[in-house]
Amino acid sequence: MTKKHNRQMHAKKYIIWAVLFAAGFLVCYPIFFLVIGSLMGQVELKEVLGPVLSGNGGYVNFPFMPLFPTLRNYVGVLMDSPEFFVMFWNSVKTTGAILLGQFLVSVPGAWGFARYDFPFKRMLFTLYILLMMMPFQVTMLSGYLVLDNIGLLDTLWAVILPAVFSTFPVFIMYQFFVGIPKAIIESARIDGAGELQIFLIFGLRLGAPGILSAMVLGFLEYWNLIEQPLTYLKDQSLWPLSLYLPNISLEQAGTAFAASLLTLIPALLVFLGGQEYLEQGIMAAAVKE
Amino acid sequence: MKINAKKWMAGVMAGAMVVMTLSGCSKTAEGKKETAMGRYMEEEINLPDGAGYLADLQKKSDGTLRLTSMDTNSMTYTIYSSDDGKDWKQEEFPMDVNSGALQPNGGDLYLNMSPNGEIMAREVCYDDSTMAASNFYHFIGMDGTLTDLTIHVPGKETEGNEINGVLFSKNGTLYVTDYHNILYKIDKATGEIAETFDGGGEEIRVSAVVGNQCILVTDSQVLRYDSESGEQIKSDKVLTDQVLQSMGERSDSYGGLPVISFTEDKDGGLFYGCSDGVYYHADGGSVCEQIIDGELTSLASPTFGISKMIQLDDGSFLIAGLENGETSKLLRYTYDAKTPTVPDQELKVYSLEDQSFLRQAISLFQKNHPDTYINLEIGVTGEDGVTREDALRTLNTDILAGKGPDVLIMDGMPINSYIQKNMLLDITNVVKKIKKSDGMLESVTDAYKTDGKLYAVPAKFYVPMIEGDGDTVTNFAGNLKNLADRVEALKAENPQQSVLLRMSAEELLCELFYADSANWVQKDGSISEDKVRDFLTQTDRLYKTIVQNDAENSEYTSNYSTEMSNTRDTIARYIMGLVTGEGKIGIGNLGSIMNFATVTSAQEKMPEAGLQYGLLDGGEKKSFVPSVIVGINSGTKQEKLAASFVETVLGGETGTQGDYLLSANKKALDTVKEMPWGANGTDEIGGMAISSEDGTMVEFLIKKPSKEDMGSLTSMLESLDSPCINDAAIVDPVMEQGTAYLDGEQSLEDTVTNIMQKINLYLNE
Amino acid sequence: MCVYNSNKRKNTFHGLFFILPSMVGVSVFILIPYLDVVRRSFAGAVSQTFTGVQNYITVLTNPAFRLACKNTVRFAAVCIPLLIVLSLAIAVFLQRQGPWGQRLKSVYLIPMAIPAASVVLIWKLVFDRHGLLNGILSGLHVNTMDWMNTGAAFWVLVFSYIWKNLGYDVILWIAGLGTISENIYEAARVDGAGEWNLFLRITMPNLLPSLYTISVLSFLNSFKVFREAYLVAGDYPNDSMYLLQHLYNNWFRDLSMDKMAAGAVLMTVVVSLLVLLLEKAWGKDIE
Repeated sequence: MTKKHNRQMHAKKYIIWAVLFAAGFLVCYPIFFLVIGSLMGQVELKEVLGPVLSGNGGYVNFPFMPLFPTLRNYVGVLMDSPEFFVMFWNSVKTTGAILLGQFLVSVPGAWGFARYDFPFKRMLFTLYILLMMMPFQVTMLSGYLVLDNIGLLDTLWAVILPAVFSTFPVFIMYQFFVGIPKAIIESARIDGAGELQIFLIFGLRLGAPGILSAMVLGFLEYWNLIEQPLTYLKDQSLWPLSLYLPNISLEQAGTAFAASLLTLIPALLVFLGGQEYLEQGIMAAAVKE
Repeated sequence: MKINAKKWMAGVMAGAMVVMTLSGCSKTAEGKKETAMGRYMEEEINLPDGAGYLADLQKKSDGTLRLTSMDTNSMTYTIYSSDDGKDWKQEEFPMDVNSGALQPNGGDLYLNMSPNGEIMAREVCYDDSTMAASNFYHFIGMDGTLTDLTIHVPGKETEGNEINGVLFSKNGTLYVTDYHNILYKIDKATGEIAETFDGGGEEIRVSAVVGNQCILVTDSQVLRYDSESGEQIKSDKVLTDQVLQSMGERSDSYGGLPVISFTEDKDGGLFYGCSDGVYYHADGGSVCEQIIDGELTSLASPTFGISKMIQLDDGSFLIAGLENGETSKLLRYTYDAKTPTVPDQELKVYSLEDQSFLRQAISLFQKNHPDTYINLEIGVTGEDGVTREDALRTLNTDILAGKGPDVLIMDGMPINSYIQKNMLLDITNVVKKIKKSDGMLESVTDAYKTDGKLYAVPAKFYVPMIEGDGDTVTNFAGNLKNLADRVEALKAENPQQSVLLRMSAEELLCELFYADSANWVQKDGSISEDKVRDFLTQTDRLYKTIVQNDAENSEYTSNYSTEMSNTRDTIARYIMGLVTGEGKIGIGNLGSIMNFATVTSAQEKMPEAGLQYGLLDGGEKKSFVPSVIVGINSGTKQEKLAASFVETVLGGETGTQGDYLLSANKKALDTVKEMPWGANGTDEIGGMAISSEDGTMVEFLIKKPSKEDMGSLTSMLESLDSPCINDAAIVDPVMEQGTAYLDGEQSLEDTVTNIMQKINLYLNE
Repeated sequence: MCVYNSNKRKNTFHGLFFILPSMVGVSVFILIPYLDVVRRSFAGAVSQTFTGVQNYITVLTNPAFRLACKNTVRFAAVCIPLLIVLSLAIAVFLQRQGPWGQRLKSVYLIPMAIPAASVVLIWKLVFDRHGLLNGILSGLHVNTMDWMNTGAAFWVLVFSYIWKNLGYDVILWIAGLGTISENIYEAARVDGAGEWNLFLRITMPNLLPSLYTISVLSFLNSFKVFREAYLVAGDYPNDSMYLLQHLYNNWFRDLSMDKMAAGAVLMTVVVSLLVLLLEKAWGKDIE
């Protein structure tokens, strides 16, 4: 390779990095609003948000730093509203149970679809895809009637169980299980491994990227559930954190900003942690081959 | 391996089943609870003859009861005594307190008596110019000797702090409270402050002396002190938590009384009463138990405040309080072992927004139906992320699943869809019955008449109103174009001054929308584009005459859709502006007779201006804004009970409380017309000092409207003929787009196009 | 023959064994409600009496439904290809940047984690008539516009969809890329193939199954942009962003269960045809 070529390669690499960062920055820009806004006092927020929320002329001009940074908004959420923690734990319980349930149900399900033949398999799988298509408002009433019949309404299970049996993760993981070369499994079978053993060893390991992406995406989705708990849970002491945030008015903007960030943080931690596992999963898969 | 796999799967399934059964079980177990018996029943006790405002209710040293009554007109006092709290006999004071002997300085007299009969007289003199109070104290001992005391509270000179309350402990120790609710123990002989109980730096919300305890409630604590030693009693978390929870955000009740009232029992335990009910906490006990559920009594009524509470020897309670901030009431709560603790019937009532009136009606209904518990569900509380749409979706799901509420308050709901889909019961008969007994304003009750039947009936309503010079009101208030012509002409005469009072684009749109929108609906149900355009044009003309002041507007957060409906009663605000001379013509919505009093009082206040009032109409139709629209879910299993609740809501009694909301019920209007408004039969409701444009204070007395005025109000209300458009899908785009137009951000044509696009989308669905 | 048969039966048994728990739950919590919706599409709104295809006729002749369909199709046609291409580009580049690339990837997921109420506030701040964007434009002396009340509303919606779902697709692409064995690339490199060539000859074909999954999921996620859309612009937004979801929501509010069910069934029919088509085109591995 000539020197010139090399320099070109470097330039290209930097440009790509610049573009990726720019895109990343653009995507994260709103977080910056939340952080700055959550540190502002009531008066400053009023001034900054005034043009939009109370319509008194001028344009919004968001500063890069609050004039008088204050932690009062955080104190307000964490100290003065005990329901924040109740709702936080509800969210943790709900999301945790859903993901655990999905892991136990959908992973084998996707494996079954991907690795075995049985009558009507194709039809069944298409049905699974179809079932993902209905927007929630459409099946809401029917779902409510079913949950009512089983006697689950107004318990966390009303939110957890339908989500556990969502066909989304099956659909996502299916693709990854199908991708595992037949040869590996056949050779394992010849070596005398049982079906479950094959699933546990090869399925889980080689399908790890798929399983983990389904879980990470699922977490984000269920952490922010709104319609389901609202419809199926009358008892407000069961509500998740996603329903804590009031409709934001000027008076509550600071609290809302702080509460948003506090809601966001566990999600961030989980998927940052999830990423590590995802990476390991991919590596393990690559090493195997 | 295969067997293992089966076990594994079976385990998962079994786990799921167990969980499902468990959650199923717990539900049924709850449902089969045995009916617990025993409840305190409320009974109103007739006040003794001649008793007016109840200044005090207490237990004397000999165990009998004493009631101190004050005639608010003459400021004279009477005392009564009783053994059982039912029969009251007038008693004599140790000296003639009403002779003027206790008012050597000509001030107002406030009396407090100790359990053993000592009298502390507080004479309050007001400075004519500053209205600052200065007090004189006269103490009358048990033997009748009179001593003048001088009590000096901190901050008297610097900030005008004064004593505003006198309290006695069980042993007769004297206490006073000041404007900051700080409690002082006073030496009866010298007037010296012997001890000060402040909130430890925190603001005190309520202070009280109960038995031998001093109690101070702050934002975070309930502080208690021994009244004799002054030592602090160990703080009690159970009590603190419950008291703070019961008080919520409020410190005062409707009539300005402290929101909470304490009393003691024989064993040192503490009772407290508030709108939640009555609670008991044994000294050092681990629970703070609710013994009377406020929801089932008139305690929960938003217009009731407790002034004094005592427990009688037989365990029952006597509570003195103020209804409406005016009328004193004496309530007795007696334990009845035969009544179920919780009413066996439950009626579910649903409303998107909380309304004080609704709670009043519920309290009234529950008092008359002790066997029924009204479960009021509020869809949009504003405290969580639930939007109106979310609330409606959940409500619809419940209704369709057959688990809906029994009674619906349909303000903000798609009423016509509910009627078309047969979700509502025909309540024509209920209305007919009330019409027969009380008389109803037919145009109001028939606002949602469909095929000759009534499914949804407004109990209350607002009317668009105008007050200004006689010429404008009689000749130009009939349609918006005339009004705009007139206001522009007046403005041209005097360009410096506002004719209309200062209001934001949104406020003006809102007021005029209610006046005009009834004219927009065409025969086929569509909305006339020309009428919308004309409305915007005229509103814009009017808006341009208003001198806008940005600095002041920024304080006002306008958010039309989240506004509670009871703030729609806007007229009084603009009348204040007439009185201060800020403008010449006031327009706004009138929702209560109390505010009508503002309208007529302004006339009286400014005879030179020749003010008149009348309906503000956008066109041919005389419109009104339906409110508290009540209906019964056709899926209800308690049709009769629901109907009787609807009867209460539409009934006459609900219009005679609070601010006397404009009722569809005619008898309510008549009763308010005839009844005295103030305590002791006065018609003066109060006054206020408003600072005018040039900074001077204008005093504005508000009086009950004269018979003639009440008569003309009645005939105005009877002339109404059509409801305004009340459909959020139409109101919202008009407000939102109209505001942008008025503020000069988009052209008239764009605005009309946007509005019509949204409305037609809605009508096309 | 006999051996084959028993193998097949065994296969069937194992397959059913794995999917059984999922199937039971799906039937109870998802399939039954779904069938109930199908039933309702042939019945009166509240009376529940059989009305044949009446609801379908009502819906198909309803101008609001037609507008919503048109917008939904337009929305999907614009933003799904855009999202897929963008996320693939980012995924491919990130994949090659080593650990830092992996970390940067998380950044793209952040929008998904922001609660809806805050997203709405942010959109309002940016796209309001007095918002940040117009502030910048007026600073540059460019004509400002009312983003939410003109045809621009559609593009605001497209933008917010892409903003929110970019990370979702990037994650799936990267996972998909991870399943392609590095050996294949090595072999091709030895043959002297250029980067672009590698991408076309190896990456693309191997990603076809992922493309199928991602397209379907992107399509489904396009429904989820609704909550924000409706919180920002209300139940009756500008004509250009009035989607099927708005209509369903409004129908539900007005208790028009009949129309809503029929509309939803029609939609699933169209969508499943589309899915089958995609499957034929890209999802060859499925059988």
